[in-house]
Amino acid sequence: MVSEILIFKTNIHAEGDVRKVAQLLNSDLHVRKWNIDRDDIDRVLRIESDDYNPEHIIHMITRAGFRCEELLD
Amino acid sequence: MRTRDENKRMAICQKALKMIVEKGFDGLSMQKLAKAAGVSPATIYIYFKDRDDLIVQLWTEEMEKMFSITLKDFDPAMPFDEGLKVQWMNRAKYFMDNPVSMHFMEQIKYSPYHHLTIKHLNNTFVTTMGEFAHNAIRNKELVRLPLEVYWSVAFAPLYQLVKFHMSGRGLRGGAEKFVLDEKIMNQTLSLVLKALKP
Repeated sequence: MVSEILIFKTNIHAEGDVRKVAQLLNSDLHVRKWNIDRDDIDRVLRIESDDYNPEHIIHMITRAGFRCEELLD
Repeated sequence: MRTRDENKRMAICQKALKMIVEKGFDGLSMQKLAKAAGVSPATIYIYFKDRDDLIVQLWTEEMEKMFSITLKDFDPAMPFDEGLKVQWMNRAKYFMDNPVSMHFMEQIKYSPYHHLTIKHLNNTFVTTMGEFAHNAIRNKELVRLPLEVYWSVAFAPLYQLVKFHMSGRGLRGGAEKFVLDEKIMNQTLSLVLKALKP
């Protein structure tokens, strides 16, 4: 199956933030791999998913209290 | 669905190499790279997880290119002097044609990335080089030495000459231009072969 790659600009930065988000993403059935580039100014969240559904991710992350918007290429 | 575009990826890689060589690892950020390559940051993240991933992928690809050029017309069963000559010609050609890559690989060697990249080293190349040396030892064409000593004698003289050549200067400074030609290469190679004989 082809992996969809979703890219988001966030404000997830501190270790604790990442742990919080990790719990959500690790238990999501569609998310295969993810990482947050905390060195980047946009704190980019990159997700490999088997389902292209950015709204679902944005909803999940913002409900946890973070900013999250999709970055388009 | 996002599709991969190999041309875009290649443009990103080329710009990234240039940035690292000109400004060092700290001079490379995804944002600056996006601007330089004329793409959006999101595009870069399609191909690379983060900066470290980008650097490791760059290194792996440059090494693969170097390996394939180095192994051209080479066979580990060749007589030692012949094989080493092919190696010298190929390696010199690769570095002279790719000065940016050579610089980048030197930067990696002396940076914390060395530990990250070394895990991705191509095994075929390492095995082929090992086979070549072991054949030569068995055929009494090469003296048995610790690997680092062997490498330093067999290849470091060439690399130093290539560096002189690429900087355009020898040891006597700016006045005299140093050019690594075939005559100098053969002269040095014959000294190296003499040193490595049992």
